[in-house]
Amino acid sequence: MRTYVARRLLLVLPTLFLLGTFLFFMLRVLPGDVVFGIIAPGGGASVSEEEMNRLRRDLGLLDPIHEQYARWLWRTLRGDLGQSVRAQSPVLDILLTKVQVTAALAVLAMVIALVLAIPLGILSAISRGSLLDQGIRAFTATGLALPTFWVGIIVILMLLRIFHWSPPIQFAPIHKDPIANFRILIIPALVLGFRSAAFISRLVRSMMLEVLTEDYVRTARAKGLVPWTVIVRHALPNASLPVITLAALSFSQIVEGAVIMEVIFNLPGLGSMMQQAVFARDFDLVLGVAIGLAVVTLVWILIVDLTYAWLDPRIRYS
Amino acid sequence: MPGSTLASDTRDPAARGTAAPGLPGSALGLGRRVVGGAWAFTRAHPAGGAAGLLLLILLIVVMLADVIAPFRFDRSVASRFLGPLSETRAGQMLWLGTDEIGRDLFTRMLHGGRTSLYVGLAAPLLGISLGAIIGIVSAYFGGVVDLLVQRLVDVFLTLPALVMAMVITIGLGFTMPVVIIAIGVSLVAASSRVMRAHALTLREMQYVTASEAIGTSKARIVMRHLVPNSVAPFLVLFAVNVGNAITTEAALSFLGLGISPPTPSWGNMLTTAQQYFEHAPQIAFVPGLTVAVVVLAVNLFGDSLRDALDPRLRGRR
Repeated sequence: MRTYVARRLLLVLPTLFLLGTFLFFMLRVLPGDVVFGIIAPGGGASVSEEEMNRLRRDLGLLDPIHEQYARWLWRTLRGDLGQSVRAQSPVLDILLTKVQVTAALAVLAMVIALVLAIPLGILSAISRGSLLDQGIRAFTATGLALPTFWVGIIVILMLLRIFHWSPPIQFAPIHKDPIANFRILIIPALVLGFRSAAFISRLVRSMMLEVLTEDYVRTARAKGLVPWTVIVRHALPNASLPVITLAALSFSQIVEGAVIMEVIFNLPGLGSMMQQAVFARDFDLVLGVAIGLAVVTLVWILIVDLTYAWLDPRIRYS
Repeated sequence: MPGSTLASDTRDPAARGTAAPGLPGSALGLGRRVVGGAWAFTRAHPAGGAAGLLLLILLIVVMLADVIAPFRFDRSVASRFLGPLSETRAGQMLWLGTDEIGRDLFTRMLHGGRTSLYVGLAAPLLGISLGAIIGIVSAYFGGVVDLLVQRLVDVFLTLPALVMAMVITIGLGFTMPVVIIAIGVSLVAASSRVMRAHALTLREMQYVTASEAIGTSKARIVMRHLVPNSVAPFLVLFAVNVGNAITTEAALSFLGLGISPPTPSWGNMLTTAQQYFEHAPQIAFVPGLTVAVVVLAVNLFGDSLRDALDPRLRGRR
């Protein structure tokens, strides 16, 4: 187990390096530049070309691309992700505050998804063909087809219409006011979790259907166990490994969804930061946020892989 | 490829014989086979067939957007926020009403649909083709190639698809070709995994071993045996991802990082929906529900296609 953990951890570094390099070169072709964003936020032409060029030189934007890359790499290796030219503060500081919101939203959505998906999938499987099963399947098919961002918009508008509730302008960080924080995050998390639940419960259903035909389930029933015990103790654990795989894979979809929810619900996370940074042409910040989002997913995949190895000895010895 | 036409000629002389003799047979024969296949598919999967027909009609309608649309998508034709079924001063029908600058919503839906469906079809075609090539080559060559390619795929799987697409559009611009490339590229890693898994089973087939034994080159084995036998999983993967691509395009454009106005797309038509909902709820409901219905149809069709093409799944459910 220890060597497995070490091997998995060692793979993180090259992954981050390659990702960072890809993102750097992808974003380096960015049309327009940050200088416009700093000097002339309104797009005014009152600033002389000379002045803009001086600023570009100071920021190192006129150097050859490989020099910029080398400088960026060296800086990043020392843990300095650069300065947000617009916010005038280090990118890393901004990331560390914003990532909490995105991670909290994504994890909450994941929990909601699993809490919804597992019972729905089981119910659907054991009442196969019944009206309940049909209903659940129609529900999941709809959940998969509705675009998350649109559901988000409609939910906000409905809440506004009916309860006169609107997303708060002021955000409450989790360490200051956990209850207020939860109340802000729960609605976007429900919207997100709902979609993933639709996705996951379909797999729970088909895995349960498969497992329920196994010999050991028949044996368990034959020896007179309560149906509930058969399902929870014998069927569910055996159906769970593929479900964990899918849950792991759908996390990156949840992160995607979180990016959009933040914009719609006005949450100060990585997603809304990304959007603002793009429109301000704040290069280092865009790059930093993209890396931050990748790191969130990477950490999650790592946790899942390790859980796997812990659950299934075949993996850690291969 | 030499000999391939000959092979298909000898394989189904019957089909050629039945296809009206005297006409340029192959085109008609192919047409018949397609229609016949579609009919058999619809009989076995009524919902999937209906969904497929709906999508086909929709595709034709949006392709003819220039002819059908009563107005221009970028001109205001009446006062703003008119409700559905109102009329312009000249008495022309505004089926869905107007948006925040008085443009006809119906016209914009048609043109937006063209954008959305083109992206929805082209992006998976591009991305999954690339993924298929990478996956098949990686599986067939194995060893170091496979190891390196798979580690690289791991890297790209770490990046959420939407974020990947965002980074590409930010870098290359907010136009339709770029959005197609962006969404396509974001599908490459995951689809190459699926295609690789399939190709790994093909590699062990006897006809591959036999072909190797008579000294066929590797490139030829990939082209003649592995690629043709991967068509079924390719089609399934494609159908499943069309829905994803449509929603991703909508989400990107909604955020202002996809197709940029004035070109309409179902996604960027929703950008202002939140702002003007009070005045004209149709701005929010029409494009959103349309996306939902189209994606539902695509998913139904894709599921049926998977059932039809994957014999292992037959009879389950």
